[in-house]
Amino acid sequence: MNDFENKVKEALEKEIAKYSPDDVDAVRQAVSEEKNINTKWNKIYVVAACLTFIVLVGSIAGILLKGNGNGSITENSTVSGAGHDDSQDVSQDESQDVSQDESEAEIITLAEKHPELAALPEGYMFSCYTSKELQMDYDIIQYNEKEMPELYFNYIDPVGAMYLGIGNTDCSGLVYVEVTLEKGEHSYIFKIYKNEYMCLTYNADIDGSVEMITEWYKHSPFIWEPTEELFSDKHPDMLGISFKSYDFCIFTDYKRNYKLEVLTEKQAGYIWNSVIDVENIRYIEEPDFDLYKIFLEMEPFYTFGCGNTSNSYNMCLYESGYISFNYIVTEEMGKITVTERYYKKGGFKTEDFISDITFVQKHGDITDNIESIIIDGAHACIDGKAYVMGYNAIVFFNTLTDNMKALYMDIPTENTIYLGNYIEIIITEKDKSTQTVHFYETGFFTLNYQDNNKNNTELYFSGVDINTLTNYLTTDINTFAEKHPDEMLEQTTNQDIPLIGIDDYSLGDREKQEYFYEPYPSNQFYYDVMHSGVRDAIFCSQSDFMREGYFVKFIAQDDNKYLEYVIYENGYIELMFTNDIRACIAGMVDMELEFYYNPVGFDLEDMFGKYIDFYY
Amino acid sequence: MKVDIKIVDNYLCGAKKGNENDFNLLYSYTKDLLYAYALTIVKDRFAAEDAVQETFAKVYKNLGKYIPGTNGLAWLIHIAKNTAIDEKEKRKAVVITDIGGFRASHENAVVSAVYLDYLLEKLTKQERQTIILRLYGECTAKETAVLLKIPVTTAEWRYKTALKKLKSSLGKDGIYNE
Repeated sequence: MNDFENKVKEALEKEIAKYSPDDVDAVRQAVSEEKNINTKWNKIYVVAACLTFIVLVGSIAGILLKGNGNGSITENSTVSGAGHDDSQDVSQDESQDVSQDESEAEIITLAEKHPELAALPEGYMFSCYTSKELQMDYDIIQYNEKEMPELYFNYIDPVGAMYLGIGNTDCSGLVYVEVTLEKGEHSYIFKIYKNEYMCLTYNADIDGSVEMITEWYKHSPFIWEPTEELFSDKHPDMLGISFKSYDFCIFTDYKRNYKLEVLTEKQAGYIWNSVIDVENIRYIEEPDFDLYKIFLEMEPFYTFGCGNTSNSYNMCLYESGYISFNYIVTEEMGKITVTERYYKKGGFKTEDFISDITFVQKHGDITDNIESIIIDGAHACIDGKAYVMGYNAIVFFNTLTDNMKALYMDIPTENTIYLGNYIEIIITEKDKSTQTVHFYETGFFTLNYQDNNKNNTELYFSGVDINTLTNYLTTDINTFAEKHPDEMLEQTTNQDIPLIGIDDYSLGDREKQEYFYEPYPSNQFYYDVMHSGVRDAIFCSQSDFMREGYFVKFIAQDDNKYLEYVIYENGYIELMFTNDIRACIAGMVDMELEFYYNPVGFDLEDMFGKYIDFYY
Repeated sequence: MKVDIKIVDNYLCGAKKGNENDFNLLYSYTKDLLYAYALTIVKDRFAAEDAVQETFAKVYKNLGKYIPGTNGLAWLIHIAKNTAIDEKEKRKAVVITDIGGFRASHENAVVSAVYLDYLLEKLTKQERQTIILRLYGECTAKETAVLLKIPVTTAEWRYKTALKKLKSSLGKDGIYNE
């Protein structure tokens, strides 16, 4: 740390110590006050619910009396919000949970928070995307002018959607519907999740700079009301089911990640009694056919199956808490499948099926020594195309194992079938056998390794979608080392490599840079530089190239070759070279120009500190 | 002051189990860093103080949701960030009278306060956050990148740009001379 950094640090320490709060009791007081407010609001909720019911009955009666069969917006939105206060337990990322709690004291709707969105705003381009069966991408549906406002109210429900707070856009839930409103550069994007939440992202002007704001709303447009009848009332025999006399399996149909697993008795018992919680699930009377039913049908979360030679049952478990229970009965006409619907308070989430153990807890040795692991191979298959990765593999590994999130799934992976896109990384650690990691687009990854001559496969869930990282993938073998194998050999370079200086390009004044013409032990220097990430940099186009930040420029030259490197700390490399310097001098050939990128970036001080005094 | 992620995790785990003392320790251990972080967003000392109190109130209520063994500091910073933005929003209608404020004349002001004022006024929000985490929080570039959810190179670049900008502003006004 230099003198200036020390001064800033000192100043910060003095100032922060002066003003930072030191009264933890104030926190406790705030918590207890909020608890009181919440109790008060809970009472208000009850009164409001009664009033809503009366208004609802009144409006339905009004509609019937008027003979107006058109599905009223008010009717729909009011029904949708009823009866699901308990769904606050539904899985959300921690920040959303927090934001949710904080706003309970001041209940406002989307229409109140954004009066401009109380009705479909004029002049905006309206597009609506709905999830397509078993696909991650969306179908764009074109609507006419009459349909647009209706859909807007149906999906967005501005007067029913309750503001929860701001948060980030991380949400493991699946999106039912995405509505986009665009006008010039301004846009509102609504994502309606199947777990009864909606997020609104829009660009706002904050302190003169445009920032994307994401707000979360409690929003339940797709709700069926369960009855008081329990599963046990309808199927008392199923309560005492013998786990010994049935085979159990679980089929995951999460996005496009199909997986069939045979469960042990213990695992089946745990899922049946604790996850599905059969004693507490409530029956839903079959609703009339409608659009929302189709959505639910499309995206089951897990299917839990049990059967023996005489009976078979299965339960499709939906993230929102809905359960579709199917069984076969024999009647005079033959065998028919009966489907019943149930609802589980709180819904289902991935964590229900997995443990609290994280990847780092089980394999801390890998993540602690991340810099020392060797990537033996890495390739990917995205949308049927094969990719290879150079140094990027380590970035992928770091990102995808995401120590903070990756949770160990304590379920067997035998008979596991994965389809869809994947990235495979093969790693070795010193004195250890090879380990293979497969990352899938659903956020799951498996780790295969050998322990005592036994093959082990462990399943983890990190929530990172590999499709978001495709920009880093390349279809060809295009690393620097691959394109310039000769340059990687120490002996091909000249003994004297002049370093031509370092400056801040952002000053836009390259002419004033300082020059250093001292000779250096070139072989070691060149070798060090090449192995500090240059060799693994990936070929990129000039249009992707970003000249920014500090750089070091140096030249390597021998009788034939001339190579001029400009290495930027942001990871980009500009290489000007000729393989025939005499022809170049004679004007017979031009210098060639290539661009490379290493997403890890370059620590210039580390690479060149031995040779240059840095003056950041 | 270096905040150790493992210690934060220990305190959070203890507090999650109902140990009041661990919550107090967590508060004492992290409040300064969270205050500094909140200050980079709200740019007002009182508002930052409120944001920290509110952050811990939220942490207290949500202890049950904390996953042991994860990066507790990142969790706290995430909550502090959202709370500070809310706090800023809340105070938009109120005229902010920062007790420090940006001093038109810094001659009589304490140097440390002037440094902080320049930090708040001359740097962008992202630059302020990087400086706070790197210098005050003594985080490495890698740790800063994790906490701010940005690439390491960006964290490093942002830090250096911020330092340079700050140095240049303080130098131009004759407050810092090499």
